[in-house]
Amino acid sequence: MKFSIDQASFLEGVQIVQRAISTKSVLPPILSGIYMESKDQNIILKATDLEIGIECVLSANVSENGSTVLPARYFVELVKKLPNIELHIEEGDNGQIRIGYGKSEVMLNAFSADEFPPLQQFEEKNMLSLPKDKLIAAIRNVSIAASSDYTRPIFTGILLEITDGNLLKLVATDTHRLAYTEVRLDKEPSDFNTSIIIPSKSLIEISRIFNMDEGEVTIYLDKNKILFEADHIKITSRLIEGKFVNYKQVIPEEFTTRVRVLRKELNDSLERASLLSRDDLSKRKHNTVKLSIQEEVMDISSKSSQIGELEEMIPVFLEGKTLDIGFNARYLLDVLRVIDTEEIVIDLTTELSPGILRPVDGQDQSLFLVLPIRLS
Amino acid sequence: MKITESILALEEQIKALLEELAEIKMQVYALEEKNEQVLSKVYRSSEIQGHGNLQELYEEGFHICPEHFAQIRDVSQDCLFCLSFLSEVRGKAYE
Repeated sequence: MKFSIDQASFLEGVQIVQRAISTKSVLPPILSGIYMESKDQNIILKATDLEIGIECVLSANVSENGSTVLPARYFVELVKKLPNIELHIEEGDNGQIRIGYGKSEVMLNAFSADEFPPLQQFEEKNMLSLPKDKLIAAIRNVSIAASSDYTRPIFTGILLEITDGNLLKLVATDTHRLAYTEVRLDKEPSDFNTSIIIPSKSLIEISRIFNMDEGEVTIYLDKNKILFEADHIKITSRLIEGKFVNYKQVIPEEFTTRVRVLRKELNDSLERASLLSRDDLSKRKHNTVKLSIQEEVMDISSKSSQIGELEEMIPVFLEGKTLDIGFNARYLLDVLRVIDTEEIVIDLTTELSPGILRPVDGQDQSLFLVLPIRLS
Repeated sequence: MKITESILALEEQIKALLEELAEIKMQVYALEEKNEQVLSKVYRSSEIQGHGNLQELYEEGFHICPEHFAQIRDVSQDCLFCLSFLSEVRGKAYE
């Protein structure tokens, strides 16, 4: 293996694949490394923790084909600190890898590339292309509601449904809130239908790694794995086995109170209120804020026995009944962070029924269900 | 002559039997209707009791949704699926 490449593009590549490196000590040591292969004027970088695998292809000036695995922890830190000049990388003696920069060099101990597990191959028959920006926006919308409780794996995943090849639905829930996004793709209907659960961690990485431009991302499906390919990067993820909960049953079809409010105004007010809603004395985990919805105003209040009290009023447009209801401010703020419309609508029924937040005139159909907190 | 008399007597008996049968039929119909009413009352009260038990289990800190039935839940927050299930059971019980 012998090649030269500029430090900036090499760093970008190693930082992308590094995202798949796990810190779990139960994994074999080889998986703490980054696989590197020089082949036909390209450098292939790979890393995996067996749940997610990332492969990135970079252009380079290759003199000799070959492969190696370098411990990510030192390798990435080192490349980050190297000067932004041409790097010369080749196999040295005793299985070491030599990185030359200017008149200097560093030798790194390496693993044998033969031990590195190959990333799974996918058949081309189960493939579909999606607009990257729409997929990334949908992932950002729903990932806020995915659970991090690994004792209930289904809820750590995001349900991805594709119907007739042109309707994409993403759903996530942690049982206290639920996020749903539906995107109509600008494609002719086809017989591509699927319903799979992908770990939210994998989808979040996908939304961070791929550029949010007008390009396409191609997905390939296998029985228990999925591959996303775009921007010379391949990301594979295992799928979560099992059946996703019947999410439709928890979405209320009727409401008695509908409030339209400016998103930024509500967001700013909730951010202030959440500062005073953390009560360390009672060891409560959530930031309860009270919303008193009246004819033309919403009264937002919070209090902490240690810090003090806050009360704000923001103008709203109300249809239906007035209502006092408590919410976890963090849940509401998470929703307001991913909605990008000027106004939002909140549909409510009782102080114990879930509230539904929706963007007003959003491009795609999204809804966010949040369970209230009991005020008494 | 004796035969004719016998036939008439038989006819009378058949007539009486048919009348009795019609009366029994009416009684059976009435009893069946009453039985259905009683059964539905019994069924409804057991569903109401079932709903009460589920509510109690939920309030004590256990999931009652089919996905995680009897698993311990975080009591500081409600569960969307348990509440939806409770409301479904309550709806059926009070229909």
